[in-house]
Parts: sequence; structure tokens; C-alpha cells
Amino acid sequence: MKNKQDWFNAKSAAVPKPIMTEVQLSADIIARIDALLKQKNMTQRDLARKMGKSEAVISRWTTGFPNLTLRSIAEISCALQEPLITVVN
Amino acid sequence: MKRKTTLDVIGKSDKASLYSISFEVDGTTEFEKFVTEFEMNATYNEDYQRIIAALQAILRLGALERFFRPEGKRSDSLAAIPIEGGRLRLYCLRISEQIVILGNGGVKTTKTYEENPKLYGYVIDLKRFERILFENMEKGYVSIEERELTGIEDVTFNI
Repeated sequence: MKNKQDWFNAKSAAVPKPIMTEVQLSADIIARIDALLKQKNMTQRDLARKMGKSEAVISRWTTGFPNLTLRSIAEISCALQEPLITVVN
Repeated sequence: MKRKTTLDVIGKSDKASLYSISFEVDGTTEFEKFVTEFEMNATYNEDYQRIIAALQAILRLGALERFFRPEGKRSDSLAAIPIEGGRLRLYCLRISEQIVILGNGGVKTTKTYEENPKLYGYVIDLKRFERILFENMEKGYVSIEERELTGIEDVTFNI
């Protein structure tokens, strides 16, 4: 049983660090958006309406592991009135 | 033809467990077959790496619904790990926010997986497994306890 987990860990370790880091950052942002939507009792449709964008665009920005631009992050952050990421100074 | 099926743990954390199905006598899982096919593929290598990274994110943060693209009806648990801009798909069953069962996958070159016989076969295998798994859960032979499927090792799934 442990063998397959070790095998998967080895496969994960072989993923280039920049790709692993990018996907983890994306996942953290998506998880943060998910938590904020739940906390504010908002749906994806509510967010789309608030941002004046189509639901399809918001779905693309808020599901999976998207490579969001700083602009998109800023727009979502403003709509939710909460920070999505912080930068270490 | 009926095939005896087993489940193996691929990854485990305090947030989620990843399982994969095996139809093979030697115990090779469907997910291992996926990795073997794509880890050295020059065209899809980066998509493959992103999928592996996504699975690590799921282990770290839990199997949030938002991380998956539903591929079946709203009522079932069939999903794919979506990779931005990529065509490589890994199909899975998102059983709960803590349990994901990984199947096989491939390159989606058609609009729907139904148009690709290979991908359709992988999806049908997962759907059949899902139906039998839920039947066994209803009968009480298999249950979900925290992040684990318990009783699974005592059940033979004939697909």
C-alpha cells in the first residue's frame, strides 16, 4: 500500500518547481475565492453580476487551476472587498 | 466480460485521500497507466506535470468542488482535473471533499469525450465503478469514515 504512495511522491518530486509552485499558488487563490464566496453567501452568478462579466468568464477565473493575471486577481478582490493574496515585503 | 476491480491508495493527507482503480491481475492502477503514457510525452509533458501538481494541491487543501470540472450529470461524481489551455484530461470520481478516485485519461481532441472511443471507455469504467461502489455503500458493505473508504478491501467489484 505504501509503495504506491511513495511512487506518487516520487512522481510529484519530479515536477519542475516553477510548475508545482504556480499550480499551488493558483489552488490557494481558488480556495480563498471559494471560502470568501461561502462566507459572504454569494454564488458565482452573484460575483459575475457584481463584476459586470459573463458567468462563463467568472467560471473560467474561479474553477480549476487557472493562471490568473494580476488584473483579474485585482478585479475579483475589489468585487469581494477582501484581499486574495499578500506579498512579503 | 467481468473484471475484478480493486482500489489502491495513491496519496493521503489530513485533508484528502486519493485512490485509483485497478482492473489488472498485477495490480497496476489506471492512474499508473496514465502516468506511464504521458510522463515522457514531449507534447503533453507540461499538461501531465500540471495534473500531478493539481493532485498535490488537492491533497494539501482538500477536494474542493471548484477544483474539478463536472463531466457527467449534476447528480454523479464524474469529473476531470481541468488544466488551463491543455487538452490532456485525467478522469476521476469526486466522492466527497475528502475522497477522490482516479481513473485513466488521455488527450481530448473532440468536443465531447463521447466522441473519442478511448476516453469514452475510461469514463464508462468509472461510471460502472461508481454505481457498484454506491450500491455497496447503500448495503453498508463500504462506508466513508473521515477521509477513508472503509470495508473496500473486503468487497470484490465485478465490472
